[in-house]
Order: sequence, then C-alpha cells, then structure tokens
Amino acid sequence: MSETAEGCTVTVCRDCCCGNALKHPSLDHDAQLERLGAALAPDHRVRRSQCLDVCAEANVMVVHPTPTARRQGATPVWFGLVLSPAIEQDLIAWVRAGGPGTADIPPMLDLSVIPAPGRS
Amino acid sequence: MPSSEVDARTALEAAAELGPYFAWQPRDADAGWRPFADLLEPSVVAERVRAGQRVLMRMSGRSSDEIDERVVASTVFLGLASRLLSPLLAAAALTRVVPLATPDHLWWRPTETGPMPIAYEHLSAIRLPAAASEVGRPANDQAPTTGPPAATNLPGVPRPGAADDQPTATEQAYAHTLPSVAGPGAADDHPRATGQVAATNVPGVPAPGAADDRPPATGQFAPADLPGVPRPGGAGNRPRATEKAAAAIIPGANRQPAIGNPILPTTPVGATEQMDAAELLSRTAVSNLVGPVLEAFRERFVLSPQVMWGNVASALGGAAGMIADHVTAPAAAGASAAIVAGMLARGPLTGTASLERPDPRRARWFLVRNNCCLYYRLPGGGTCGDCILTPDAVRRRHWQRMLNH
Repeated sequence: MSETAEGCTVTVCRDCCCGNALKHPSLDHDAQLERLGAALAPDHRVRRSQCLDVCAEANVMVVHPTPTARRQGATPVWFGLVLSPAIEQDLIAWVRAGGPGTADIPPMLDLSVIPAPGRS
Repeated sequence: MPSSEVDARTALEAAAELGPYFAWQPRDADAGWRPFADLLEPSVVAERVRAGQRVLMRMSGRSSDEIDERVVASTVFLGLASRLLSPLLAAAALTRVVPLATPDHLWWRPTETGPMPIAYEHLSAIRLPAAASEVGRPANDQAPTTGPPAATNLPGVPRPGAADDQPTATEQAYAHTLPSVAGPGAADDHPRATGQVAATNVPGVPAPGAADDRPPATGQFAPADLPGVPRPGGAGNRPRATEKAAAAIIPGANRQPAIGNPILPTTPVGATEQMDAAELLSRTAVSNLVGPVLEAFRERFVLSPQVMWGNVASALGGAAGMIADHVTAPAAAGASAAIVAGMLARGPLTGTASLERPDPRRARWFLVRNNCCLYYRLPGGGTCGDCILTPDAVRRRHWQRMLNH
C-alpha cells in the first residue's frame, strides 16, 4: 500500500450489470479495467468491487480522495455510465490531477457524476 | 482417530461464555419460542426489517422515508447471519466440536433490540479428531500481550467497525441492534482479483487446490449443488430457496441423531471424517440456516446476492475477530480464522471476501469484503472497516486501533 498511500483509489464495480457485456456490448469491459490500472498505477490504486447496488448506472466507478484530501473533508465521488473512452480518459486525467478535494472536476466529466447513494 | 457424534450442548455452552452474541440457549418452556422456519416467512422477514427500521428512526430522529428499507434489510440480515453463525464458529474453534445446526432443532424469539434469542433442542455435533488439519496452530503465534481481552467490544457491543472515526448517533444506535456489523475490516496491500481468498495467510489452511479443497470422496455433496444454495454469480437461475428445500437438504439429520451420518443419511459411514469444520459448517449452518433466510430477505427486498453473501462473510469475519480478541489462547484465534478461510473458499461465499493478517506476530485476522452492506446509505452511516468502499489508509488505521487495544 505504501506506493498508493498518497494516491486516490478507484473502485470499479464489476458484477451483474457493471462490466457485463450482455448489458453493454459496445464496450470491452476487461480492457477498460486494464486501461484504468495501467494509466493510474502505481500512484493510484484501482480495485474492483462486486455489485454496489447502483445497477441502472452501469458502469459505476467511485473515486476516493487521497488520505490527505480526505482528512481535509473530501468525499468519494461516484460516476455512472462510464461507457466511453472519452469519459474514461477524463476520469483518469482528473485522478492524476489529484481527484476529489484537490482538482476541480472538468465540466464534461461532471456530467457523469452521480449522487453518492444515500446522499442524494 | 475418527470423528464422532456427540451432543452439541457442551460446545455451545463454551461458545456462550464469549458473550450474548455467541450464545444459543437450551430451549425452555417459554411459550414465546417460534420455530426457525418462521424466519423464512415473508411476513416475518418484513416485520424484522420494520423493527430494525423503527429502532433506527427512533435513535436517529429520522423519518421512515430517510431510512431505506432495503438498506435496513441488508443490515438486519447481517445481524441475523451473525447470530446464526457466531455461536457455531466459536464452538468449533474453541472445542473442536462442530454443532450440526438443523432448522427443526432451532427456535427464536422476536426482540426489538439486542441479540435475537435463539434456542436449540437435541442438537447433535461432530467431534473432530484431535490431529487438526484445518485448525492452525502457528508455533510462532503469541497471545496478544497488550492488555486484557477486549471485553468492552463484546457484550455491549460491537460498533459496526465503522471505518470513519466518528460514529454517529445512528451508527451507535445501530450497533446495539445489529451487533454483527462489527466486522472489522482489512486492507490489501495489492489489488487482487476479486474472489481470491487469502487462505495462504492462515496457518494450517492449504492453498487453493490443495487437498482441503478437493471435493469429498463421494463427490456428490458440493454445497453449491444442494437445493437452495446459490452458486456464486448464479443468482438468476437457481431454484427458490424454500423452507421445504432447506429441510430436504439433510432429511435424516433429525431422525437418527445417534446412528449413521448426520449430514446425509445415505452418506457412507465415515464420510464426515473427511470433513473439516469449515465444510461441516458450510453444509449445515450455511446451507440450511443462513442460505434460506438470505433468500427470504432477497425475495422480499430485492438485494444483490453479492451484498447478501458478503454480509454472511462479514458476519463470519466479525465473529472470528471477536473470538481472537476474547480468547487468550492464540490457537483459538488461528482456528477461527482458518475455519472462516475455509468457509470463504466454498459455495456461495467464494469470492465475497478475503482474510488479511496485518501483523505476522499477532494471531489476528481481519476480513475484507469485495462488496458492501449498504449501511453507509443511511443518514449518518459510514462504511464499515471491512467494506470495499473503505479507503486503505482508513482501514489500516482501524486495524491498528484494534491491534493496539
């Protein structure tokens, strides 16, 4: 964990709907996960989760702030319908720029933000 | 030495000494006891969830609109799973006697707060041979030296292992009703494929593919093949778990407790000798008790099987952690972790969580879920220490606090 101690963590849902080629056949979901990992490691951590119960928004990803940003009050940001390389690249660029609490979310990427469940 | 069949009472009494959440009691004459099967009734499930919702509303001052019933259902189920599994896990870890839980021998009583009372009658058990294959007794493990067992964690109880450092009123309130949310979590050092159980970290637990993971010699009793037991990821296709299906899994268990095999009446005598505690618990408590209740909750409240089986894993991890924190013998900590690791490698629990041991000098394992119980969606609710949504740094701090206790 040391290498990601000051990085963001991106939780990528992969279960019944997210990552399901039957639901979203236009995307190579495994390749998406690999791209994220390749683009963000080792500074940031990418992990996969089982169903996060936001099925209508598949593919869902959650960007968690760095520990420092979190201590300053930053909270995780949830993204839905991450189904195009463009959104993916915007998300990667934003995480590299520091993510929640550190970098402003670009307007285009902001369109993919969904309310954190239970906080809507 | 062969395993042998005994009465479960002594083992369950040993477990009960750990506190109310580990206690099942012998059934008494109280008229309030209801058959276990009632817990599978949709109306009863709904009432249990309403009771949980009432408590959360009262303690948080929120309205029912703000306390999502699906979230309540998930967490109430987590509490139930804990009550159904913790006493059995503790009995097995402490005494090497594995109670064979069967629905027909269990009763419960509704309660608004605190641990749900559970009673048993004529429950048989398997005494495992002393030479343990599945129970880890690491030579270099030492009993925790930092003070007394964390008695304050248990009886009154387990805060939900909240990873955030500030438990809210809701959270606190919740802790009293739903003890099992106590599952303390753990973090991975490295991302790992979902579903990888870190069994190799547990002493005495063979790596996947080793002998322990083989199907039993008879080859026909894989838990996933049993009716009512979902396959991982197979949510949509499995038969509905009905009370009847649950009862049919081990039809002979109740009739002939003293003769033959209590797992399956047709099993050749001696087959249970090849089973370890994890397998026995998977085939009895998980398949016959937890699985059917899980399906009843799922059918009524439409919850992901991963959320729900993750709750079962969390209940097991929380219980193992509490056993480790309460028992001075390090063997019991290793034994409970080994049993949980074995259970996580089987049937519907496969891939739901892993066990981590952050300090190799300490016989203390922490569970990390690959999913979430949804509790964080309640007003003021945070993520638990074992949640997939908890940041690693927070999880590490949580572990450290637990280890320093």
